[in-house]
Amino acid sequence: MKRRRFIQHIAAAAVYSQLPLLAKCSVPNKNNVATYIENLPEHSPLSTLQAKNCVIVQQILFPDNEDTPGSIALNSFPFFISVLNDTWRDENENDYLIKGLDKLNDFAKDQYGLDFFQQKIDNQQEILANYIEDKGENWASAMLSIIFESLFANPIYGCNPDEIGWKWLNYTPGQPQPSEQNKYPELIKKRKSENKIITSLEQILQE
Amino acid sequence: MNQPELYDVCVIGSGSGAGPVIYELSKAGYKVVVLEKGPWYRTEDFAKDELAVSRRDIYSPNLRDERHVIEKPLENGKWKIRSTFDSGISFWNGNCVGGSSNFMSAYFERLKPSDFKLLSTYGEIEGANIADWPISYDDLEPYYTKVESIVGISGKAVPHKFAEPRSTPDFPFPPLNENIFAQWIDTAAENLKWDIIPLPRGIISRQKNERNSCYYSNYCGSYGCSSNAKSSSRVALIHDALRTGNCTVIPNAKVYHLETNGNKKVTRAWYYDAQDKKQSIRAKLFVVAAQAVETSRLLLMSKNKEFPNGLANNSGQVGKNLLFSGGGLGNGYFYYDELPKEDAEKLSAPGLFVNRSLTEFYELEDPDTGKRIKGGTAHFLFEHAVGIGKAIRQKWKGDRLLYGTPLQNRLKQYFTNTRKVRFEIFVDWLPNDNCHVTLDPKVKDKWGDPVARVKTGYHPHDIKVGKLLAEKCEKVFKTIGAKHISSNISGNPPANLQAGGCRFGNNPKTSVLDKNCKAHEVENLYVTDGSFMPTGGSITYTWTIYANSFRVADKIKEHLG
Repeated sequence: MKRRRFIQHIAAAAVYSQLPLLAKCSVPNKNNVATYIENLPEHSPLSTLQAKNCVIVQQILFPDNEDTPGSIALNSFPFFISVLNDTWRDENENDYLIKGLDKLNDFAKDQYGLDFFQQKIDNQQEILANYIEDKGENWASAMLSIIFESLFANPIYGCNPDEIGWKWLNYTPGQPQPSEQNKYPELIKKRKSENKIITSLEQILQE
Repeated sequence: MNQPELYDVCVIGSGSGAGPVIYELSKAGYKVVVLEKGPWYRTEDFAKDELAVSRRDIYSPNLRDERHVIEKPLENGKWKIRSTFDSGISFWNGNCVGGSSNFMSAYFERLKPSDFKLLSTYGEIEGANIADWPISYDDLEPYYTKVESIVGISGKAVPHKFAEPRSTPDFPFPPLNENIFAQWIDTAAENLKWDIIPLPRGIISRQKNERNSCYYSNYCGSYGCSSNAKSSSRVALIHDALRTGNCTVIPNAKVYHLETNGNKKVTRAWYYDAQDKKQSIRAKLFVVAAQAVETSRLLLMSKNKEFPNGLANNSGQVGKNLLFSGGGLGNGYFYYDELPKEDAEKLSAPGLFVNRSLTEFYELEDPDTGKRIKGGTAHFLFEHAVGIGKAIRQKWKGDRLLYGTPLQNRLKQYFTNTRKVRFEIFVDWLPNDNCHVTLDPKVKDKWGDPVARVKTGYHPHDIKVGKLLAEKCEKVFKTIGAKHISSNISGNPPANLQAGGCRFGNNPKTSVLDKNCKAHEVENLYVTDGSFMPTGGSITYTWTIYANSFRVADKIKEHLG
């Protein structure tokens, strides 16, 4: 059942949120990548290669530094995995994101003969910049939108731990924020509920 | 529970066009059944969850299952035809009990008396199918007033040159609390000597029965209200209807066909239930209020020998003269570090409203001809508070994608030092032959039924009037010192402001509904959403839809005896 997979990955995201902040640097760090890949969910929609490349791409697009929570502090990668497993989303959009990772890797191999994640850090930044300039701008934009989701979504979704993104931007979210009872997967479930015939207000209020 | 074999009234839809009928007829003792295609989301289900609401569009059907096909005009005279699944731009406005009224921003304005006689007041415009309404402002005024108290509208009535005649001196709920920006707008109005008036809201400012007053969450448009202050059909009307014991609501009931008896009467509504099984309901009288596009679609789908072109469509008028709202929007910016500290603090306060409407130019002089023409209104407001949406707009600098530290610096600056202010312009969307609903010949929904194909042609006059209004709004922003002012007037149809498609009128050859919103061709079929409107005025439609639905409820009571 696909929804179960989604929940598994939300749970996996919660595990990641327990990890300490992994980076205080503004450039990709291969040790961080290794830690992430070791914790890849069992049914990851990304291959190991795609996952390694993805973490680095996210870190270049939205780096961590001393006073800025980047993709590592925001748990953007596990959040990205949960997005790819979200069956409510258009699967073509997910394919687009994944294929972009593959195309970037092909681009890296064409230029330097190695997979993207195996390149030197300076090369990774240059390759991504060239790829964005060449044909990857819309894809990088879509990747950034997912990072923004991990920056602003409620921590209940396994990202933005301790509201670190909100604090960074002095952002005041609307209230109430989602709870276990009315978070996104619960609302999806409700859209496909059983047949009901409502004849009194109490029937609804006591649900 | 056993259902009655025959209900008095079957209402299809549960939004602002349906709620007053459900409420009034249930209270009058009639057995009413409501078929709503979406689920029942309770107030407790609503959170200010941008991920679920704005990014995943959770209150609307998944576009994989249910989509629209949109035809948009191109500059070369051709049409771009694309399904909403392919574009990713939904044309739904929230499917659940209470419909899109749960998610409206709730800017409420009355039509002006001249809006009921646009043709006779301002004359014909070539290429536009303008028609006077078969009723006058005076016919609707008592019902506008009824909406203020029963549904709940807050505001302050002030004299101005286009003020609508009122039967009561003021609103039953006082205005909502305002940000300092509203005062700045008032100062600009004084300097410019223009009418900019307090804008009423369908949001209550003090408790009404079990509904709490507004708590200034900063998230009205697109989001459900957690205090029940927003005057949705669900909390303002359907809750009370259920209390009568005469109302039955069936959520997840997607009506796909209205069956007639060969004698100009609807006898049965067929629907898919939550398990996608076909079910039906019998009733003496049927009311369709599924929002303009879907109402026309349902009638067009309800073909049979008696109505080979669709129910109530032997005239060929169903789906024609669809309306949106013309106009566009504009922006300006304030930077906190350029303002006195106290002003910056007050301007940055989240949650408080602006609620100002420029009404000075509801009528204008045409700069080309010198004639008086219909103008419009403009609302002043803040950029929506959503974080992801704001951030996404910051990632492009011109046509170049920003990322890395430059992007982060830009976000920091934007979120901590900037307040973006906006105006939204509303002008008439002139009815025309290129704006209509048909059934798509190929694309089907998940049940195998044809989806609505919406042609969204606009009249160039709408753009001309919109630009005149934009000039005025930019002047207001300049007066108060906003920076980087810009505006964009276009013929893009706002999907949340739909009307027309089943216009009412006295001539059965040129209208679908009579002046009581009963189908000319069907004895027991009424349409009570915005479909009835031959012209839309230059305001948001919801208050008028609520008011007309109360009016038609009285006519239905007379009909049922």
